[in-house]
Amino acid sequence: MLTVVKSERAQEIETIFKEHGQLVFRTAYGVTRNREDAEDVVQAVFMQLVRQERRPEGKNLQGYLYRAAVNASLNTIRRRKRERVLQVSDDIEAPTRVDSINAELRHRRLYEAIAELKPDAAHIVILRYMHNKSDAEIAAMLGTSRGTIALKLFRSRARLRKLLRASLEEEL
Amino acid sequence: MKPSKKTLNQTLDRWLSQSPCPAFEDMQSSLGHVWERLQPQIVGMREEVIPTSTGVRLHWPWSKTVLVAAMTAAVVLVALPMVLIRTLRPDTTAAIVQTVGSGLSRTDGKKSQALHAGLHLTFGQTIRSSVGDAAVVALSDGSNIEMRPNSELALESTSDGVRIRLNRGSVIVVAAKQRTGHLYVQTKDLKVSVVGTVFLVNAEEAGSRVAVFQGEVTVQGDAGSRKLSPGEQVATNPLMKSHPVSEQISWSGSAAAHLALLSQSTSAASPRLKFDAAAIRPVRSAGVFIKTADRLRCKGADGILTTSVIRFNQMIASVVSEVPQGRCVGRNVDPISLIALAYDIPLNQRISGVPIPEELYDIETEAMDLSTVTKEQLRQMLQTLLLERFAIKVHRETREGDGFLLTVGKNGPNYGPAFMETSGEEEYFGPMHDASGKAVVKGKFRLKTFAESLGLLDNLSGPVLDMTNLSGIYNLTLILKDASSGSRGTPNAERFDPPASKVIGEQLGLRLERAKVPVEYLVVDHFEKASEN
Repeated sequence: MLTVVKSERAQEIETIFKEHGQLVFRTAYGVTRNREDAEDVVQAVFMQLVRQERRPEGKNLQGYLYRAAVNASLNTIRRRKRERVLQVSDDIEAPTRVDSINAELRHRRLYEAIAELKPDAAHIVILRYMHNKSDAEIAAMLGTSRGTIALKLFRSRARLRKLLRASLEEEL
Repeated sequence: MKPSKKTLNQTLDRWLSQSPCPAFEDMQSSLGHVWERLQPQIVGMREEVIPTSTGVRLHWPWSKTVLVAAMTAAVVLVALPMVLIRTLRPDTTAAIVQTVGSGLSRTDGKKSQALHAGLHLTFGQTIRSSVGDAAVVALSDGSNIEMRPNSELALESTSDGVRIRLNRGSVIVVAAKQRTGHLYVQTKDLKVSVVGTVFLVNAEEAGSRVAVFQGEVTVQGDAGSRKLSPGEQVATNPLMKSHPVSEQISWSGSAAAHLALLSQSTSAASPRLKFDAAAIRPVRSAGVFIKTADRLRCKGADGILTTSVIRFNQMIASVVSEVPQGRCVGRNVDPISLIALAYDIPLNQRISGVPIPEELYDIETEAMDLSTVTKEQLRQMLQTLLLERFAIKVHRETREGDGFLLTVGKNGPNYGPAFMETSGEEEYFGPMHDASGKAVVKGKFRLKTFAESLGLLDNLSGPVLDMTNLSGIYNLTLILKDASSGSRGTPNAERFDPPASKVIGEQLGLRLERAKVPVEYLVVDHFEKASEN
C-alpha cells in the first residue's frame, strides 16, 4: 500500500499558516475593509511563501509576512482607486445609499493616503494604529531601532495630515 | 477659522484608530476557506511516497534499491496524481446527491457536468439546480439541503465545519445535530450558523432572508447578530417585503412536513385555509384569448378583493358582476389574473418562470364561514386552490433596480382638489391617456397603489416605492404631458413636460426621487392545467 507523507516544507507551511494567518488576515481586512479581498490577500501572501524554496528572511518571518500583507492590501486599495477613476463619471443622477457612506468614505480616503506613503512608513503606521503595537514592538518586528520608528511615525502622521487636510477639515 | 494642527491631529488619530476588525468567527472561517484554496499547491509539495503502510520515512542514501524505489514513486506521482488525491484523501467528499430532477449540474471552473442521484460532491464545487427542478443533497454529517429550482451553492470546508455558500436561490436545510463542528450558510450579506435545526435561507439580488421552522439559528449580518426561533424570519434589506413562510417554501417537496414542524413549535403556523367548495371550469368554447373578461372578485367581511387590470396596454371593458359574501367569482379568468390575486402581486410586479397555459376558466368558490371570512383568508384559500388544482409551485425574488421613492415633500402634502382624503374602497383607473394624449392617473387610492400606478407610466420606466407613511385613502388626480424627446428604457422623470417630479411636487406636495428600489418578482416554478372538479 502506498502512503503519502507530507514533505517537511509542506508541514512548515501549515505551521506558519496556523501561527501567522490571523495577523495577515487582520491586516488585510483592516486595510481593505472587505472579507473577500482580505481572503485574496492571505492567499497571495501564502502562495508567495509556497513558491519560495526556503523559509524567507531567516528568523523574522512575522515581519516578512506582515510586510507582504500590507503591500498586497495597499495594492488592492490602489487598484480600486484606478478602477474608480476609469469608470465613466455619468452617475451624477445615480442613486446613493446614505447609511455607512461616511465611514466607508473616511476609510477609503485614509487608506488611499496611506498607500501614498513609502512602504516602510505604511508598515509602521498600520502596526501602530491597527495592531496597537508600541514603538519597541514595531522595532522588534521590523528589525530596526525604536528611535527610527518614532521618527518615521512622526513624519508619516505629518504627511498624512497634509494629504488628508481637506477631508479632515470637512469633518470638523 | 482654520483648525489648528492639534485639532487636525486629533481627527487624524480618530480616523486611524477606527480600523475595522473582523469577528473572530469570520476570520477563522475565512482562513479555513483560504487554506482550502491553498491545498492544491500544498498537495503538490507532498513529495515523498513510500511503499509501506507504517508511515516510516525513507532516508536518502543513494543505493540502487532506493533509486529504483524513488523512480517508481516519481512515475506514480506523475501518472496518478488524481488517483492518489482521491484515494488517500477521502475526507474531500462533501456530500452525496440524494434526489434530483433532470437538471442538477456542477461546475468546476468552466466545465459543467450533469449530476445524478448517488454522485459524490467534493468541497469547492459549485452546484446549480435548473429552472423547474428542485434537488436534495445529503452532507456527510447527516444534514440535508433541499435546493429550490434555479439555485446555486458551493460546499466549502472550514476550519471548524462546513459552509454552504448560497450564491443565489433558496435552500431548506435540515441540519443534523453538530457534535463538534459547525454548519454555516453564507450569502453575500449574511451568515447563519446552526447546531441542529430546520430553516430556510434565501439569497436574492436585493438581500437575503432566513426563516426558521425548528430549533434556533444565529444570523449574522452587517447590522449585527440575532438569534431566530421557530416562526421568526429576518431579511437583510428592510425594504424587502415579508411573506408567510408557508408561501416561501411552497416549492419544496417537503413543504407540508416543514409546516407541520412549525405548527408543533409555535402556534403562529396555522393549517392551510381551504374553500368549502370550488368549481373551476375551463372555457373550452373560447379557443382563443377572449377580449372581454370578468375580473375575479372575492367578497370578504372586510371588503372586496379583486385583481387590478394587469395588461394596461390592452385595457378592456370589464363586466363586473355582483359577488355574494364569502365567495370568489370570475368568468373567463386567465390563470395569470388568478395568480396575481392569490399572491397579492402589485401592479408593477412581474411574473416569470415556466409558461402559463393560455386557457380561460370560470371560477366559483365558497368559503365555509360565509359571513365572517376576511379578504386575507380568501386570498390564502385561493393559494390553496392553485396548489391543489393547478399544482402550482412559486417563489418570490426581490431584485434591486433603478426606480423612484415617493416621499412627502418638505412642506407636507398639498391637500386640495387633486389630493383629498376620502373613505371607502380603492377605485381607480390608469395610468391612461386622455384625448389630448396626456397621461392621467386618477381615482381613489392608497398611496401604495398610487405609487405602483405611477410605476406603470411608460415614460417613467421604473417602479415607484411608497415611502410617504400616509395610510388613508385619497382622491388623487395627476395629469402629465409626455415630453417629445428622450429614449425609454431607464428610469427618468424628465421625459414629461414639465418633469413628473416637478408636477408631483407642485400639485400634491410629494417628492419623487430616483433611488435603488427592491422590485419583487413572482417566479412560477411549476404549473399544470387545472385538474377536473
